Amino acid sequence: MEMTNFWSWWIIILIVIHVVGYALLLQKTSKLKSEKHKPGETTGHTWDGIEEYNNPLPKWWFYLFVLTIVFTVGYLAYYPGMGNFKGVSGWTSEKAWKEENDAVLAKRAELFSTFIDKPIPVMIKDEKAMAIGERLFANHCSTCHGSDAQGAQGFPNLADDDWLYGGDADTLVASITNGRNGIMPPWGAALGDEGVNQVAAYVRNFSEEGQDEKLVTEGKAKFAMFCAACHGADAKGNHMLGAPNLTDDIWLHSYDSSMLEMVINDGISGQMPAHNELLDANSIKVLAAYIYSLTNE
Amino acid sequence: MKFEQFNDDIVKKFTMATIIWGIIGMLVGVFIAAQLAWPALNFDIPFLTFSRLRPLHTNAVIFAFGGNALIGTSFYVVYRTCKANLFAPKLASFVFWGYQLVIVGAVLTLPFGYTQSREYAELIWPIDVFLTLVWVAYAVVYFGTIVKRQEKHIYVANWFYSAFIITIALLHIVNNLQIPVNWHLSYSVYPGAVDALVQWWYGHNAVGFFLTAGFLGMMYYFIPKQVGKPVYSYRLSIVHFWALISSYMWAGPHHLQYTSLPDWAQSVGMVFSLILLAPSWGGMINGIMTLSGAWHKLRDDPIIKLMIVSLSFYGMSTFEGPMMAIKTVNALSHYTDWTIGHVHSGALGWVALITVGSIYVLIPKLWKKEAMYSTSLINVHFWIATLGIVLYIASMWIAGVMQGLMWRDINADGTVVYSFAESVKATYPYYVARMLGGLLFLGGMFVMAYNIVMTLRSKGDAKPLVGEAA
Amino acid sequence: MIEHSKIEKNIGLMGVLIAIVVSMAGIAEIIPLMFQTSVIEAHPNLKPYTALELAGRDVYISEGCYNCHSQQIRPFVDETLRYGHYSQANEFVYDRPFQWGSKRTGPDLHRVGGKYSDEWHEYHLMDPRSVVPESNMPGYPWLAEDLVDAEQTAAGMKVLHDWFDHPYTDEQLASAKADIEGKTKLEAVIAYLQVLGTTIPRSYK
Repeated sequence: MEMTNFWSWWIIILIVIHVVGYALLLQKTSKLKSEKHKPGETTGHTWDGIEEYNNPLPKWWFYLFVLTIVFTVGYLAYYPGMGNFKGVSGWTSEKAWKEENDAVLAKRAELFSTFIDKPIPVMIKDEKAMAIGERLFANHCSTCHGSDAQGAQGFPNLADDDWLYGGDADTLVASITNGRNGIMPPWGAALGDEGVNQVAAYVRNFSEEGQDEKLVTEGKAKFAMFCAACHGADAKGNHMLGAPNLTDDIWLHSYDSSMLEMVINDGISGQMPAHNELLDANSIKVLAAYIYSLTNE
Repeated sequence: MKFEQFNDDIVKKFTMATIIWGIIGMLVGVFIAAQLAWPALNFDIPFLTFSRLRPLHTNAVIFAFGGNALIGTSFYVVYRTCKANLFAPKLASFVFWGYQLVIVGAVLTLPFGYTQSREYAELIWPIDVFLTLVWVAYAVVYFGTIVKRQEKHIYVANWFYSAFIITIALLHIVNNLQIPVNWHLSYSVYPGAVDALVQWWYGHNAVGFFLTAGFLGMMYYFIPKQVGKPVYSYRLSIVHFWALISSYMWAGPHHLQYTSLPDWAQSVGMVFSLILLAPSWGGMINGIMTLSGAWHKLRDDPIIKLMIVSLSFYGMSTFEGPMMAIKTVNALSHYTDWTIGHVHSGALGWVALITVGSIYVLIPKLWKKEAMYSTSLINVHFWIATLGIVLYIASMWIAGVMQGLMWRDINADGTVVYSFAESVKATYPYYVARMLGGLLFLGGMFVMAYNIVMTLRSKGDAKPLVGEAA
Repeated sequence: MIEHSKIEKNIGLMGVLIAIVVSMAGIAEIIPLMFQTSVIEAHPNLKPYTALELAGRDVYISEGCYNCHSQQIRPFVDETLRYGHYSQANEFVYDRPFQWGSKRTGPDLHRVGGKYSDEWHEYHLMDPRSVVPESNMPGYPWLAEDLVDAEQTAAGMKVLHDWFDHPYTDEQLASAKADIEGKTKLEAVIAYLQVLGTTIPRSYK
């Protein structure tokens, strides 16, 4: 046992002394019939003009006190409380949780059984599965990706066709299960301020006309040298590495003002936490199916 | 006589401090209540941020408002009921100035991030050490006066003040055992779960002895005094006093129901919380029944009305407390705003109302005035304060039960129905209502302050305004 | 009551009796707990806070996060579904002071470690409503500018090691100051948040 018998008895004895003590105190005080002071007569002392009656204890109050003492005795016999004594019920908070949890899990397994074996592209046709997936999304994903799954700056939009790591069913399951670690290293030192501006101009040129021709040309050369390894020679990104497509007008970190230059200069990282501890494989599958359904019909 | 003058002078100081700190503490309370409804009010300024001001609010209302009221009235009660001048007047002055210094120390540290993070014991270790000295000095003055008493028997109000002084010393020292790292940071000598139990043994009994036993002492003097009738039952005093101070101390673990505290300690905390119900109500009965045969005074005297309503709130919150200690109820109520509502039904309803009632009795006596400047204003104070309390606790009850129910709602598929943020969103209207309730209560304090200023400015024959019955 | 009138007439006796009566509960509840192994022995996977985590913990305390966030997941299904595995006493042995809290104006944080990315925490601490529109949490933008007090943390680790046997290695103690010098409070508090509750798996599956 985690507590020695010495300490167990220590606790038990002190509790008993107190509970019995309250009972005795109550009994002795109530027994004092008004032998000394008749009703309407004070105790005879005066303090700054204040006197005291010695009325009997109100009956209902007396029994209220008795009731709480009786309840205590019963409760400590039935539930753990007296040191190592487990109580007649054998109740523990952990056991109570486990029973409750098992019931929830069993109910869920039953609910899942009608669709969980279907492959994800098929599962999305199951309305029940999608309703569950939506709730899982609300509980576990919406804080970052938004309740509409449209993301926010730094948190990818999951409702469009642009994927960092790929939007097929298996990849979605993998992304949720193990998380993702996207790292764009800093290029300021290698490129220099000028180089950063050139590369930025080249990248902007894909989605916004009217960039400085000279900068774009210079940038294109530097891009091939430094950036193409991850983002691809055509700058369309690489799902294997989670390198974003730079030619569409979709920006994870926004390219307003100097953000693009800053990202090239300082690098940036993005992390999707692994959910394998928090969610079981079946829930992850349903969740992945829900996300898959946002862009596939 | 010089000495007699001193007795009243020191109580005057404490009374003034009570009013001033009370208004400041409640003002901070209203401000942080508004921050919960409108978070922009944090202004991104560190020392105006909710999480730094909330401890300032609790410390200001408990220790600055409540503490000054308790020390001041305890001096008044002890010298009046013992028919003895206060022992060691210089030390008594030190108690006053030292105690104010501790409060100023709180104001200068808590908003600036210097804290121990122990609820209602946030003050950093150097202030704790100084407070210990002040408290010992307080005990010396108080008990020294009792030793000098002319009355053989010690009056029941003094039993409660005595228990308050002794127990707070014990709680303060045991809960603040720390090893300092530098002048402001220190680490607790108790590890994790033990630390939690020590803190809530302290926290619960800060309520039990600061906010209950101490104020029962106040009640036992000012109610029979104002009503002009003997206390209802001496033997009830005996049984409820000893049972209350004993069982209160055991009830701390009910703040840790269903936590990592071992099950046995949780159960013990729960049953002793239930045992606490009858002893708590003993005080209420003794106070309210003192009025028996003179119920009409409840109609005529708003001060008695304040006191009796305060005892009603006391009875209500000491019923609610044991109920919330029951594990199944606690499972719903804990961590929600229900707890905040419960605390304020005790703090505003009981502690603050019995205090302002006593202040209304004290002011004319101390400053040798015939009566308060305006009885109708006391009545006004009573009504807006009561309305404020009701609005406050009702909104927090509803909010708390709603939060508890939203959090525990589970779908058949094993997902939770509401995200946490949804429960926050649903609470906003209640945060606004609560803020308004607090504002009303604060408004009452300003009415009192005005009434007191006018009383002090009157020339000893303050004539009540219209509406005053003869 | 004859016995009681004796007490009433003797303040020394009354004071002593009060002191004894009010001490009993602590003696019965707190002292045995100090000897209960499940409470005082660390979980085998529990590590003491690193310098950066400890500095972050002191920031967490200093800012008063405990006023609105608990770190204590109760053994209820709704809580274990929402927050992860219920809290165990042996996960908190290196917590001085404990940070279990008493109120959830915001959600429980005991197993927030690893739940969100560092970037999310950064956005959230700077401006909570930028990521959680319903939130009523204050922003803490100054954390990004203020630096941790490296010397204080190093001294704190030494206190924890020397007085309470927190198992720091000599190297950890020696390098503590250098390890965190120049780090912002924001980095520190995020490091602390990310280690919370990671001693045991967040959930049994």
